[in-house]
Parts: sequence; structure tokens; C-alpha cells
Amino acid sequence: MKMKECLMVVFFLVFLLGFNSNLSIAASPDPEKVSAQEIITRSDQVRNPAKPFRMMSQLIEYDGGVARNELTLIIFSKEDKELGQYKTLVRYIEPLRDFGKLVLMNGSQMWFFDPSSKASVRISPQQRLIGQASEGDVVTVNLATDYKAELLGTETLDDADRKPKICWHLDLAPARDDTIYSRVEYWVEQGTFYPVKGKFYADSGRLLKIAYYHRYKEQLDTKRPGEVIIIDAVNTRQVTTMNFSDYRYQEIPEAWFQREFLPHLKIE
Amino acid sequence: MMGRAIFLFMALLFTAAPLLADENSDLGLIPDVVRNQPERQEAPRMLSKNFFRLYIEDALTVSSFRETLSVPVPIDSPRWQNRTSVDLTRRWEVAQSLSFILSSRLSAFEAENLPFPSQGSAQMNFREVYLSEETFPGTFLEAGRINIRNGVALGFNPTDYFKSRSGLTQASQDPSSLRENRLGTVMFHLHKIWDSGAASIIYAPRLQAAQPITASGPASLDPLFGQTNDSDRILLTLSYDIASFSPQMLFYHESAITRVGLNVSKVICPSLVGLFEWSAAKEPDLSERAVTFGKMTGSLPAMTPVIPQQAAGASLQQDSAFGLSWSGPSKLTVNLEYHFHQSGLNHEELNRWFSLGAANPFLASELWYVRQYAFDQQEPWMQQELFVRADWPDSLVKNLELGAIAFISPYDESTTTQMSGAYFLSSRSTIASYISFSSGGIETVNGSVPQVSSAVLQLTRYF
Repeated sequence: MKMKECLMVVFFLVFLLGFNSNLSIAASPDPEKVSAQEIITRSDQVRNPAKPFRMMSQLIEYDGGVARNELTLIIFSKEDKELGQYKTLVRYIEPLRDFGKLVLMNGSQMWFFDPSSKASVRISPQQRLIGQASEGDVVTVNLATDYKAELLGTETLDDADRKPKICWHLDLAPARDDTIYSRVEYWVEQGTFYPVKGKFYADSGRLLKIAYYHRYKEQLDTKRPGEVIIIDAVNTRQVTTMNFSDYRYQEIPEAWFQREFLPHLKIE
Repeated sequence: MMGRAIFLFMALLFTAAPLLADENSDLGLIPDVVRNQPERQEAPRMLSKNFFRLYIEDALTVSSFRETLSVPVPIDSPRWQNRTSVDLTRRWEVAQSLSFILSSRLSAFEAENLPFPSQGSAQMNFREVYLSEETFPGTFLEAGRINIRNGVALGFNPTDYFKSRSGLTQASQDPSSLRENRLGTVMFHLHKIWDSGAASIIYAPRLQAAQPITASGPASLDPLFGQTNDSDRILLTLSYDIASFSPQMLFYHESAITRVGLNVSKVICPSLVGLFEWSAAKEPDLSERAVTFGKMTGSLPAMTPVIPQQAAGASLQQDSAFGLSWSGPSKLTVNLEYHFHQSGLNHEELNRWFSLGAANPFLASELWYVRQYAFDQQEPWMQQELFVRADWPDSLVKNLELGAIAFISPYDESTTTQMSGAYFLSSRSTIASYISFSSGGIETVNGSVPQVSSAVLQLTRYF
């Protein structure tokens, strides 16, 4: 079963969630006075809608510049106000062999549902890293709540479209025991709080993933990245693009985040 | 002074420049085709209230058999067989909150010694045909043939009470078909899902007298209600999360048998999930149930004795499954389970199965019938077994998924193993192979079956 893809994808959803919805994006504070933690919080807010939403994500895996796999998902996400984390439901649309499969993530509970066998299988957090999930995971890190940020300085670097951006360079250290990466380097554009680049490291200090955020466009009240390019730093021939579209605010009942709901989910 | 300042500036520039250059050099890892990829906006065609999933599959199975068996089988199995299936799942939005769901499979079979066309050479199965309405938010009322599956274990589900007789008798025994081609049960299903729990009531009426277990395929359009709806049944379930154990409690009643069950699961550590299922009922041993069923359906003569277990009437029988699921960083997932099925055969009864069958060929068919009954009920034949499963996606090359399962008998260490490999040729096509073999002497649990090995080649095309 292609549980692998589901898992990582679930993560990038959670990543969409790591923000403090009480903050406002609107004001652009003095770059000299804003704190590192506020930068990362507001950067999360750029990526994540403040109300329950759904969106479509299309992933393409490239190997040596040749597209090998494509994946289309519908993602439903809702913030758990108590924990500050997101509950996420992912439905596979493409490839056709995986159509209808579901991944549910609600706190530590993760379930995989296969409509062909009607089976719900409980999965471990480790499985979120399986397969393409490892790329998705880069995007799903809940940075503001999972990490403590330190401001290293201001740098000018090129974004994915090779346009220079003046960025805060942040170093993130885990604030919880269950974070996926032991270190994250993060570049956030000054003034807009748009994330530009991220580098994600393993416990050993090895660089695992490099992510570029670009194609910002208006989505649910503000500009959000329309695409993330993820480079596998271990095997640099492997590059994945994650395209986000069709954002919609949607009321999502709490009942949706229970495994018993999975056979009932339909897409409208 | 000016010269010193210029020197310091140049020194800083040379020191800093490589750092920034390195940071921008990551962009060189992005191929132009990726950078220039146009934005994709179109929604896939499946994003519709009325979705469908259609695929065609062909599975060719070749088998080899043992020359001698301790207990001879009454019917020879074919050495080759082929199944071609058209599989359709469709959902129609009939009205607001009301859906009609159809899940069906049309299969054609060719096999050694199977006349074509014949009763067994084609089969139409309506796995699910039902209406589903969300009558109130979180409340679902469903009616029709529905596949309800409970339980958290992978190799044996004691709390999956609608599994009995839901498997299909068919020529090709390729595992993917067995897993996905299960019949639903005609039922009324009321399902309420709250914010932190769920409850359901199911009533499945008796529609037809029990059909006998047959080695040959049923009539091609037989809905098989005599397998899925041969008695009135009620199932109540209640789920409420406690300490992340996700428990589900079940109460089941059928004829004179009442079962209670529980299944729980919990993440033990980031790479490990624990599973537990338990069910209990007051009922006879496997052999007595099998012989009673055989007599009732006319498969066994009225005077057939109960063997190899002795008739002792109903007593408390417990089923359980303990499991661990481990996932490693290399994408490998391994499941290990222990299954306990109290009404199955113990070591002494296993020896009796062999000794009776070897000494008296007239009893052999009944002994195999008991075993076939256990398979039909989807319950283990023996009291204890171990189950191991491994799944390794993107294993040796991209898009190659390797897998293996093994049932291991703790009585004699014999095994039934299946190794599988699936390669995803494209988003629409998959080629897969399954190789199964049983090991052990002819007087062992897994070595006593006629089939020593089989190979399945399967092609699937999605539309």
C-alpha cells in the first residue's frame, strides 16, 4: 500500500498550522526591533490560513530533471486551539491507483484508510517520513511552536526565481522532544515575513532537505507561497515541487478527525 | 589608514562572499525544467460529487504441488489459472446529503480443467450497493450491502465480526484480490460520530439459508446472500478515545451466539505502534462448528462424527491478537503479531488430524472440510500462530515496492510465506508479482497443504 506518500503529506499540512493566529500580518515592524520568535511566528502565519480550510496540493517528483511521480491531494486542516497544532485530513486524488486513500493526523493519532480493503491502519509518527512524506515533512514542520528561534543576522540571498531578497537568517533549535529535525536554518524576507528558504538537518548534523518558497499569490486574504521546491540534500538528483492551490475556508466538524469518519468522507 | 580600511574591507568581502555564494549555489541544484514548470491550476476530473474508480486487472497464477500428502485432499487444484477483472467503484450524489454507492467486480476465469464457458468461468460480484445519508451532522444512516470492517490487527481480526464468509470462492487466489474483493453484508447501519467518540448500530437480516462451502465457483450472478446474510445479526460498537488508546468496544449477537470484543492501539514511541484485539463468545470448538455447518448445508452426512476435536458443546472461547508495528528510517515497516484462537486445534488435536487422516482415507475429506471451514470463516485453523509482515516502498529502485508476509506455526515452525513486488510503471499502470511457498514436513501445519508454491503475475491498468 502506498502509505508512504500519505504520511509525509500529512506533515506539510501541520506545518501550515504552526502560527499564532492572534498576531497580525499587516504591520511591518522595524526590522531592528522584531524578535526572532516573532519573525518565525509571522512567517508561519503567511503560510497558514487562520480559519479551518481546505486546499489542493500537487506534488511532482523529479529525478535528474525528469518527472517521475505526480501526486494530487486534497487537504483539510483545522487548528486545535488548545495545543496550537493542526488536525489534518488528507485525501488522495492522484495517482489513480491511490484514489480515495486517506491519512488522518490528530495529535499523536495517525490513521491510514484504504477504501479498497475498508481497513483503517494505525501508523506511527516515524511513518510520516516514509517516501515522499520526507519531502512534505519539510514543509509541515510547526516552526513557531516546535522551535526556538535565534536571529543570526541579515543577509541578501536569491529566491527560487533568482531575485535577491533581504532576509533575516534564523537558526531554529527544537523546543519539544518530538520535533522531526534537530536544526533548521530559515530565511525570512524582511518586511513581508515571506519565508524564502529553509534548510533542515538531522540529529547527526547532516543536511537533509533544502526548501525554497516562491510563487506567492493571493490565497485566502493574503499572499501565500504557491509552490515549494524541495531539494533532497542527500541525493541532489531528487527534487520535488509542491504546488498549493484552490484554498477555501471550510467549516470542518471535529468529527472528521476521528478514524470512524474516514469511510464517510466525500469531496464536494 | 585608508589602506588599512580597504584591506579590512577586502578581507571581510573575501570572507563573507563564499558564504553567500554557497547559499545561492543551492539554486544550481534546481533543474531548469523544475524552475520553469508552469503553474498547475486544473482540478483533476475526480473532484466531483459523482466520482468513479475503474480499473482492469489480469492475474495469472501458476502453482506446484506436493507429490505426497499425509492427509490426501479430496479435490485436485489446477496447476494454472487466470483471472481478468473489471473493477468499478462509483458514488452518485442522489440528493443533498444522500449518496448511492456501488462497488462491483466482473471477473472471467480460465483454469486447468475448467470448461470455458461454464458456471465457474465468470462471476459478477456486487461488493457494495447502498444508500448513505447524513441525516444530521455527524449522523449517518445507511442501508444496503455494506462492507463494515472493524479491528486494528493485520493478520487476524477477532473483532471483525462481518468477516465470516465474506471472502469469495474464485479460481485465482492472488492476495490482492482476496484483500480487496470482500463482500459486504446487507444491513441497516446507524452511525453517530461525536467530537471525541462514535457509536453505531447495525442490523443485518437473514435473507437466505446458509449456502454450502463450495470448491467450485458459484453461479455467475449469485449475490451470495447465503454467505453474508444467512442469519439475523446485530452489532453495537462504541469508541471513545482514552489516553490515545483509541479503544473500540463491540457487542455482537447472532442466533444463539453473543460476542463481546475490544480493540485498542497506541503509539508507544515515534517508530512503534502497539495493537491489541480481543473477542470472547460461548460457542463450540472449531471442529464441532464445522461439522454442524457441514451437516446443515448438506456437505457432510448426518452421521458424521466430530473430529479431530471432540464434541464438548459450547464453552467460553477467546480470540486475541497482539501486534507491534515498527517503522524504520529506510522506509521499511515491519509488523509482528501473535494470534490466539482458542477454539482452533491445539498440538494434540493437530496430531489427531494427521493420524486420523492418514489411517482412514474416508475421514480425509471431513478433516479437510474442517480446515476449509476455518478458511471460509477467516479464522485461524490452529490455536496459535505468528504473523510477520514487511513492506518496503521505493526499496531498490524508485517506484518498486517490496513486501513479504509469513504465517509461522509455533507448533512445528513450518511457514507459509508470500513475497511480493509491485512496480508502478506509470500513474495508471502497475505490474506486480507474488510468490508464495509453504515450508515444513508433510505432517506440519503449513507443510501439510497440497500447494508447495505458486507465482502470480498481475497487471493493472487504471482509467
